[in-house]
Amino acid sequence: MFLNYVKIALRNILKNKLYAAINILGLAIGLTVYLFGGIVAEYEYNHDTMFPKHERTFTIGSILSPTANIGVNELNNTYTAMGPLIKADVESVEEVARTVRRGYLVTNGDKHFYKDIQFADKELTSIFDFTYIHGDASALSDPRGMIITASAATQIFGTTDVVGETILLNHEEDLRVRAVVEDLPQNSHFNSFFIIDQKVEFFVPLEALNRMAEWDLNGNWNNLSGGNYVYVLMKDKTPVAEVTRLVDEVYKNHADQEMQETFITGMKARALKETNTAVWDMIGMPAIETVQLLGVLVLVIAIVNYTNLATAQSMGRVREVGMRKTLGASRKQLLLQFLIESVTIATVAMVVAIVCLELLVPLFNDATGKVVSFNYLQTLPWLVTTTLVVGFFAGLYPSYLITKVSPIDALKEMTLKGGRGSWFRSLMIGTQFMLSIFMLAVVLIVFFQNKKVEESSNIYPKEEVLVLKRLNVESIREREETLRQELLNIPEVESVSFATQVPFEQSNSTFSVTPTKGDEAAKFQVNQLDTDHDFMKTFDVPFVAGRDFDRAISADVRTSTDVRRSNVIINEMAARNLGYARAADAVGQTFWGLQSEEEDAPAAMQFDIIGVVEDQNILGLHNDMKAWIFAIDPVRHFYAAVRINRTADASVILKVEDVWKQVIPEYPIEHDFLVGMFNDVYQIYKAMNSVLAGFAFMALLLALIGLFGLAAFMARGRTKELGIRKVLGASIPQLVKLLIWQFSKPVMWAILVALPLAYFASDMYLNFFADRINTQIVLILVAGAVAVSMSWGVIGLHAIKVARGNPITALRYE
Amino acid sequence: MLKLHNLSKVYRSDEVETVALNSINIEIEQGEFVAIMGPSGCGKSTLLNIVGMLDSPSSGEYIFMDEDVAGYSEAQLSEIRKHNIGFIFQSFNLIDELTVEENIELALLYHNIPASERKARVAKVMDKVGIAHRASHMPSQLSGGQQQRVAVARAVVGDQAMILADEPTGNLDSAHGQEVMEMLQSLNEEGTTIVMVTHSPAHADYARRTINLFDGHVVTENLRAAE
Ligand SMILES: Nc1ncnc2c1ncn2[C@@H]1O[C@H](COP(=O)(O)OP(=O)(O)OP(=O)(O)O)[C@@H](O)[C@H]1O
Ligand SMILES: [Mg+2]
Repeated sequence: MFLNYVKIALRNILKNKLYAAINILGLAIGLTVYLFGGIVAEYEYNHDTMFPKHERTFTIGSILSPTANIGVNELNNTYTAMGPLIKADVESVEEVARTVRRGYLVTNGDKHFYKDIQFADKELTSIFDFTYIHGDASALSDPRGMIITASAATQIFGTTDVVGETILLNHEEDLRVRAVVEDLPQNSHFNSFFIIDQKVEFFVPLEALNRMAEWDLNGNWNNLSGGNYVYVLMKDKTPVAEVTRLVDEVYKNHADQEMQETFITGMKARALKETNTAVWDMIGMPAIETVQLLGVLVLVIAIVNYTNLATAQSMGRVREVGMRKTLGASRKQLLLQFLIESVTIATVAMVVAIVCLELLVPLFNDATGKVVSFNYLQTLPWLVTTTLVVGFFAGLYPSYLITKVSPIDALKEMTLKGGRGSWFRSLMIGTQFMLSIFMLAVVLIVFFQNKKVEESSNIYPKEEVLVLKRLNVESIREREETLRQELLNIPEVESVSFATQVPFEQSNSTFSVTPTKGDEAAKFQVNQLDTDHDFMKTFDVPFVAGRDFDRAISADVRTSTDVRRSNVIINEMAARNLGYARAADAVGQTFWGLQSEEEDAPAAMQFDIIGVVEDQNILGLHNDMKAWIFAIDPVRHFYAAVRINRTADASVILKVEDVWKQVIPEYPIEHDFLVGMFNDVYQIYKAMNSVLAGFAFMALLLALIGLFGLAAFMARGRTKELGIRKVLGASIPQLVKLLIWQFSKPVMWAILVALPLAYFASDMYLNFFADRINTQIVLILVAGAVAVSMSWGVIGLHAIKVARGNPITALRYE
Repeated sequence: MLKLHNLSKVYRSDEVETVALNSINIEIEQGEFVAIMGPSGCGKSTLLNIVGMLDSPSSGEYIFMDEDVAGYSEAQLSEIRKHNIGFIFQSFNLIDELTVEENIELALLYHNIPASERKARVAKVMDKVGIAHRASHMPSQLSGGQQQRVAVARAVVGDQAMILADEPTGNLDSAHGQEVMEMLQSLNEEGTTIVMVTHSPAHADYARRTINLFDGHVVTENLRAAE
């Protein structure tokens, strides 16, 4: 009996090929998107499972207070001082390990590489069971030891058999390779952190950092740099909430009270396998959940599509149902027959979707560097359930409707013709378009917000500034002037400026200043940028009042940190915060740093304002405008910004490289145009937009396919009416309008519902940006208009065809 | 009013070629009441459709009110049709989703007539055909005769000069059939040209002239002497 139903189902599919093709295509698209979203989410939530102890391993993050004002809600790491304290205070903890990431120059003979080094407690190897090719887990017990991955070993030495070889760090610290491990898996948190596209290749004991940079082995309470982690291995499997509670208690007991109130309010543990998703919690965007949700929404649209088309099409099968009923089929049997038909179609669609996924996943992996895989055996129950559920829900309404009619009505083809069920159809069309308009609106809003971000970045000559990186080495600081002179000798180079920070770099170091000495109450936060005489010139920063730094005025340069007074340039916002209504009023005035309460702390800094520059958003991207001060301080600069003439060609880069090689032969040059540094961050926003656009496109495509199919069926049902109208003098445009209007009402309703939904959803994205677009509502209406006009296009094309038909054909065989 | 000269209609479907009308010559004067008779398949409906400009001839001339419309575009034909010709079909062809009143109004809807005037004209015509008490009924709630009266009302509400009726009584019993014939007759007396296809000799007697078709040819034309 069951097989018989399947046979009938297949026969029906073959009989009505166009209809079946539209249905299968629609469901297949929906399923592909849904499965893809599911697989990606599954992948993201299941990192690090290759490490046997992953279920007992947690990373410790920090919850930021709203007053912290650094643009994120939480951090995926915490102070290194917490490590030893957790180990000492919490009974149920088996092991704690910290890692601190630093970029260093790695040297083997005359081969140099800039690499990120993971400085780690030796306990790291008891938490993570790496796969050792040479050496073993004791490698980090040697304070001069090192673990290196196979591909790094091959890059540096040409072979993996390098235990005992020496590597020189930063021209100062010799380390011995103690173990070579297989490359860390791509789907571990070590390598999947997608903002910073760098692999973990070296583990070096923290003792080395202690020797090189006087890093306190007890850790500290002041550094929360990205890429650092505090790992906790529990003795037993423990719920993540419990781990959070335990470490939070340690924090509450030890951390400074003011810090707890104003900066970091508490700790948050995260299961190791979800550690890689922390970035989304940090910026407060539920990206993975969004991908999942969008997948579900697109699937819902596909199901609605099927329901609509099947309902419309079932009109043509009322006679069949009537006949079957007359011959004795029960309603239940008929219901089963129709449901099996829809499940059969869903099964075919699922097969198509799986084929699509097989093509899609490798493309996705190529584009993202991820190693998402599609495991049939593991996902089989999910696939089967999805197929059944989709088939069932898609077929439910049409089956119900068609099997409801009495045999006499069915034979007369009465019931299904008129108004009945059309409110349902309108509801379904409305739902589809509501979701499409919603997604389209969000895409548009994200797109224009991104565009605004990109446009606002044009205040800097992004394409004319070549940024040289990794200058924060004392021996390079000493050669800055030579480097500058040599670079200026290149004809295309207009100016050179050394600085601790360049625009778009997301580094946010602030401190407090006050207009009058010792006045704590009036304090506010400023960002400081240490540079030289040529920063404003190099980056085209316009002055509002006062003057630029001047080489002839020796007080502009602070020669030693013992000097507690400094000439500074401030921006307009800083001037306003200091209480000056007009920028010019600030020039010649003084403000102060705060006196530290620590013993033998140096005296509070005195700042003398020599100039005020226009407010510019130096951090750019999503950040707020900040108050800035610029000074020439005796500190190491991280960057050299080389302003290049607009007309220069690519060869100027070679000239810059030559100069570098001459002046600083022992460090390789690393450079990027300012635009490249901007894009490093901006590409994340762009990627998000592309993903959203993909979903929205699918949703709209589905809705249009559905509408097309529906318009076809509906128009067929109205051929007679159209014929009569035509005989009575209706013109083609009038008929087209009539057909279009029938479908327009639900689409209009859809706009009304989508409007607030899109408003709130896009608000979530826009909230992330300080400088938001204000065209949100307009864009939502545009999305609605696009959806409406596309639906008109689809229906119109069809309507014209129908309306042009000879009315006689419509009327003669009535 | 109209004149067909050597007019032919050939249907070509894949292999088969059907000559539905073969070099027909017919002239119809203003104010005439013409019946067209003949066996099934002889081309009556085809003739009526061409006369009504719902279909175009394969060859020959069709002169309607001194214009040769044979080569006119669909839009041009539609324009002429709209203002001059009303139709009554055997199967009524009412729109199931509209009320009686709305069905009749449909004939004015595409004529740029203000709603109030439309309403008035529809009401008048409903009175005339005696269907006013059913104005807000759906077609499916009416008897066959009532439905055909609605169709007649719809055909005349636009004050067209000519009404084409294809077996208007074919689906009606004799009493209802007579009723419709009397309506057509009184319209004709008021000056409307009527061309009617029928199988019933009794109904053909209402007409002043009968054209007999056979296999696409006009075989006889009988003129009935005025009483
Ligand atoms: N669209 C068409 N394609 C092919 N042949 C057609 C078409 N329409 C009509 N015919 C043929 O043309 C001939 C005349 O048809 P027509 O409908 O005019 O007959 P009729 O005289 O109205 O018959 P009846 O009294 O049964 O209504 C018939 O042989 C018919 O089969
Ligand atoms: Mg006929």
